[in-house]
Amino acid sequence: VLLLAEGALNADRFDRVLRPTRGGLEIDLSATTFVDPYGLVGICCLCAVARRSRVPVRVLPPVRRDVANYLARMGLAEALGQLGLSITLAPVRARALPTVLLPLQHFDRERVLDELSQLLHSAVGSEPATDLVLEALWELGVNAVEHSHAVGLVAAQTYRRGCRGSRIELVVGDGGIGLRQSLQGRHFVLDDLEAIRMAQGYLVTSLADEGRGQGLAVTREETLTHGGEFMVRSGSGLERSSSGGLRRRETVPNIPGTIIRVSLPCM
Amino acid sequence: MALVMPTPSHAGSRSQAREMFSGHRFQEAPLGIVLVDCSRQIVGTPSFLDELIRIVLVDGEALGLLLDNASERIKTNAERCARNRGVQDRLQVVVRPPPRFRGRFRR
Repeated sequence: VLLLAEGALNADRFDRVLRPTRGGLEIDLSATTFVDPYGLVGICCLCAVARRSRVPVRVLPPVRRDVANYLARMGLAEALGQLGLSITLAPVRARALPTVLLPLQHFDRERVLDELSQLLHSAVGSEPATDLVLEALWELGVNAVEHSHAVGLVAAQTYRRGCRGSRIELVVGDGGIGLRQSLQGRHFVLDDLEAIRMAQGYLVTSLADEGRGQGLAVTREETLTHGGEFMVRSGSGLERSSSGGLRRRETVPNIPGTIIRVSLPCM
Repeated sequence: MALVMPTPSHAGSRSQAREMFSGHRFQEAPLGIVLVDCSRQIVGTPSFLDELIRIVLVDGEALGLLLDNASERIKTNAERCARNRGVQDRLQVVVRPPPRFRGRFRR
């Protein structure tokens, strides 16, 4: 796969900049002008899958200084380093920023989620939107730990008075087995889009215990109730939901694993 | 018998609920009323609360579960979980007062 990120590498454009190639994974960020947490988690999930499959990986750094600084602040070099990969980014000076950044983190156990939850809470404080984001971090993170068979990745960021107002965005992903394979043990699942639809329903679970399978459903419902956007990408399926009942499904290039994005308006 | 338990401040997973009762043997000492102190709780996910309700009210067959000093979100989540498991009549949630406004009023 070639990830040729010309322009923005964000939730809206991630799948449009993927190109099939032979001979490995190349992530070319040289012409990238903007990256968001979804793009970062997506890069790391692609790299994790490639490393597990023993596919050669090459990552080209961005030319633009502001993009390189953002990637450095969001810990892309460290996250790729944990996968045995490298990207050259000049170090940035620590300074107060108008936004809160939760850098990319790998997690494979609940203790890390506890630390991240406390870190995020101390950075963003308590209000309805951030309380929901903390719940989402736990629900989506524990799902990744229990069901993905892979290490999870998380990143978050606040945006202050952008074109869509102030908001907080959380992205949790993994390069694991995906929703379809996870649910297939107990349910008939036609394809990845069907798996995404089922996983967002109440009390749908791959486990025998009745009462399980509400975390994802509640997270989605509460996100939409509070005027946010909810997006699930798993395998070759992608579904975006937003408040007002909008629900858009599409087929995208197949990448093993699941990435979920929660975006909420905040004060 | 009344049992008083504090919750972790960031209570997000089912295993945290199981840890709260890890030393308790329900067969030997049946639960009466279980009072859970939520005063320091910041996060209480549906999964954590569902497991708490399952352990105390479903498997433990306690007479009641009282969540004291809970936030409005914890109340909403807990009542939903109790309804799903059909034990809402044995759950009571006391909501803590909202934090006092400390900012300046605009004239």
